[in-house]
Amino acid sequence: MSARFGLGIDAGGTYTDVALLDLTTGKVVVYAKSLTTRPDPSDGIRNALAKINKEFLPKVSMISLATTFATNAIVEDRGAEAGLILIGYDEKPADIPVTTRVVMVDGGHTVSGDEKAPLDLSFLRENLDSFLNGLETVAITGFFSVRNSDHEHQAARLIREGHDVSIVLGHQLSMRLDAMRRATTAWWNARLIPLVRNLIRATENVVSEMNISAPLMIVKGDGTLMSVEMSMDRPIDTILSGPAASILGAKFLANTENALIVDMGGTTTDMALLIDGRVAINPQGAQVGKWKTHVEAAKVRTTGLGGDSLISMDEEGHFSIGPRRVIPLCLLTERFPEIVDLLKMILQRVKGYRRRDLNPCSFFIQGAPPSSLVSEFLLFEDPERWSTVLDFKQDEKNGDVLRSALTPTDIRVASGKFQFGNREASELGLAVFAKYAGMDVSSFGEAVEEEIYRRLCLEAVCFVGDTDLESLAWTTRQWFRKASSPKPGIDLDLAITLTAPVIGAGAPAAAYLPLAFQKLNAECILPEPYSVACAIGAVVGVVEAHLTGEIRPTASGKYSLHTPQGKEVFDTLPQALDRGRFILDALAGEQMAKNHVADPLTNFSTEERKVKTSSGQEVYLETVLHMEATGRPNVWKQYKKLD
Amino acid sequence: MSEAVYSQLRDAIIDYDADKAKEIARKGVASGLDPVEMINQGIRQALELMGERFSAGNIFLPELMLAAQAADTAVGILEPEILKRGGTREQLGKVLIATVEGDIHDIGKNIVALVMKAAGFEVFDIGINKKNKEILDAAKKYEVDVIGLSALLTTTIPRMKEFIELLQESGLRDRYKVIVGGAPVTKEFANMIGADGYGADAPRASEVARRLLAK
Repeated sequence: MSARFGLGIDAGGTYTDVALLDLTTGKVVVYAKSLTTRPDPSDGIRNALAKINKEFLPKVSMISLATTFATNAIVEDRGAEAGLILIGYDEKPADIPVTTRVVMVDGGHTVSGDEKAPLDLSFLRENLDSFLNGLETVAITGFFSVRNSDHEHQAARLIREGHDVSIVLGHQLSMRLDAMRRATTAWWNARLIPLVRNLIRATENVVSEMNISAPLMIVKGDGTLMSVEMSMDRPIDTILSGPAASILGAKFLANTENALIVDMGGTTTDMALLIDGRVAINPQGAQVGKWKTHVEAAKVRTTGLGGDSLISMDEEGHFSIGPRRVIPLCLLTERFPEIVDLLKMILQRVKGYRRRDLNPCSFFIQGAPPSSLVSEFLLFEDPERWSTVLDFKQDEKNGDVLRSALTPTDIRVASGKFQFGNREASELGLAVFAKYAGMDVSSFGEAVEEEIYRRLCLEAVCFVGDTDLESLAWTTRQWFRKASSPKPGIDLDLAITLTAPVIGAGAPAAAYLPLAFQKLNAECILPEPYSVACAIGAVVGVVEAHLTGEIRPTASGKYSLHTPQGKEVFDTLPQALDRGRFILDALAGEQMAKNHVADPLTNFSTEERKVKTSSGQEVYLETVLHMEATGRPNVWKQYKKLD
Repeated sequence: MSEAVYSQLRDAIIDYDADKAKEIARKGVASGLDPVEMINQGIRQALELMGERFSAGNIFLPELMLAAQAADTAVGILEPEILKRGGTREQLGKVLIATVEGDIHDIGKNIVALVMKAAGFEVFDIGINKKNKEILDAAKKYEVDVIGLSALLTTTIPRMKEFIELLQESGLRDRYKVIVGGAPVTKEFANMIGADGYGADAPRASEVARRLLAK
């Protein structure tokens, strides 16, 4: 049989990676990187694919995309305008901005799934036209709709009668309690639908231009896959897709079941846990920026520390790295060859440390190409223009101005350890900053590296230790500083031990992770090709469906069943169990089919909760039903190597 | 002089003597003692001692209630004095207490209310047979920190679980500490329904509330 390839795409923060995996052997055939394009990442995908040998592409039988697209859209508050219909809510969720079109309707249910009030359909009918005017998408969510979804369905039917909009129902995204989070989740899902639809169309175009005809899958935030059809209904499930794919890629490449996964990219470092071969999930539901959702996604700690992080220094001579991402100096010469002479001039003029808010190697790139380059140091030398630096920094925050400056990447390029871009620009930038800091070039480079090691260790301690930087005692933080450079003579050293290995991923991983995690006495595994672990993780994922239902006793001694389909009441527990299993089985099968899995493995389990009173009498509280289905997309059936 | 008054006040409560407690409280105020200190050094200590005796089985419910009533009487004298001096009585926190829907038992609930009030909580007792929605509305209205739910019937304790689910659904689970108690309730039950605390008896409920709020 001829080779069949899976194509993994990671449209990430700084770079877009593509990797081809031979599905018959499980070997990585080829991979490539290109700069990510924003907000539409499909150009970046096209550029990366263009670097791959054309002969390989027709052999691709499946494509899988991991993308930070949805995460970024939420963080940056980019989303379509979506309406929000709240049924039976006493108040509007505090998270939802006041400018959002919201309608509150009487109705909703009680804890046991009985009507709290009848759904006010006539009110809804009267207001629907003006409410939906100009909207592409709307979210409907009801109080206790997870116990009875009837009102959400009724409202949806009414809308479908006369309006062509995408409709999102709260209970279909999650069966968890918390009507506020449900509203946030459903509303953001609605806002993402038009964006993700465009992204997928653009990606499909790129793929077909490249002569690939294969189904496209998307990685969810829990590391499992879904079809593009499914993702257009549930785009919010793709938040944290990138970190989740990295975990799976790292696991696949390292063949390990338990590890701390550290994915260091250009902009950020993401940490996640692999426990018994599975992605550790955030039990509270994913939080993106300030938004608390019900999305099942990997528990990830993200910090603004990467190869392209901005290096700056305070008056005590302490360096800080990030969180801002800038363009490394070594990449600037392509568009601005004059940077080399400019840096030479600055090197002549720079005398020593001046002030905290001055970065001698910082350049602002202003306006559309051909843009102009403004040196922060030269602004500083001109007292009449120095105040404009604040405007540049504000424009940079708004995304109107780009910045280039000395980065960890430049320090590696200058030392000759890494061949990338223009080495002379990096060397000059390093010399300028070292002179500014009053250090020689090599000790400056080491000091920056030490700071990166310290930051990585602190992040790992906070993440694994389930705490935050503020709670870590000042002394502990100081010890990390000391541990990286103990005084001569007698000093204290730190010995915290991470009990699992670290698997590194991302391009700068080899440069920093092994030495950093030596300080935590941990082994650091860097399985090749670790720099594209995320793209590989996208291909090796499986499809899963996890559905839950509940059976609860009613006041009249019967049993009520609550599933995504609604509430039903039965005389006996076995009847309710049978029906619950039947419904969840059908729903799981439906979801799996929509995700191109024909014959999933299913596992049904129940958790009965009973409790004894102080007099020994047993009280039945509830039974929780779980249906789990798992499988690989149909195109993969014959390829056993991945399991 | 002051320690002698505190000690007399403690003895009055331990002797279940409400009249004497009232008289000593009045005398203390008249002689210029700080009413806040009289509560902290006298009344609260006596109540803690009686709580311990009750939990250990050395005294019984009627005695505990008599002691709590004696304490409450003395506090009734001292509280207006504190306000008069422009001070506020140090409050441990605000507590809402109710017996759940379908349950009309109020003795246990009343004792808990009395003991917690005497211990320094501001207590809102909204009564018996309260729907979960009414309990939540009252908790919002009085801006309480702790919600105490009581039930005597095996058939009504599921309401406690439903109350916690109502808090979750309303997005308010982190806003309140929930303590459950009543004859059929066990610690295991409290854990299983996700309550924050379990009060085996009134003094312990009060202690649990204090610990929860100290966190």
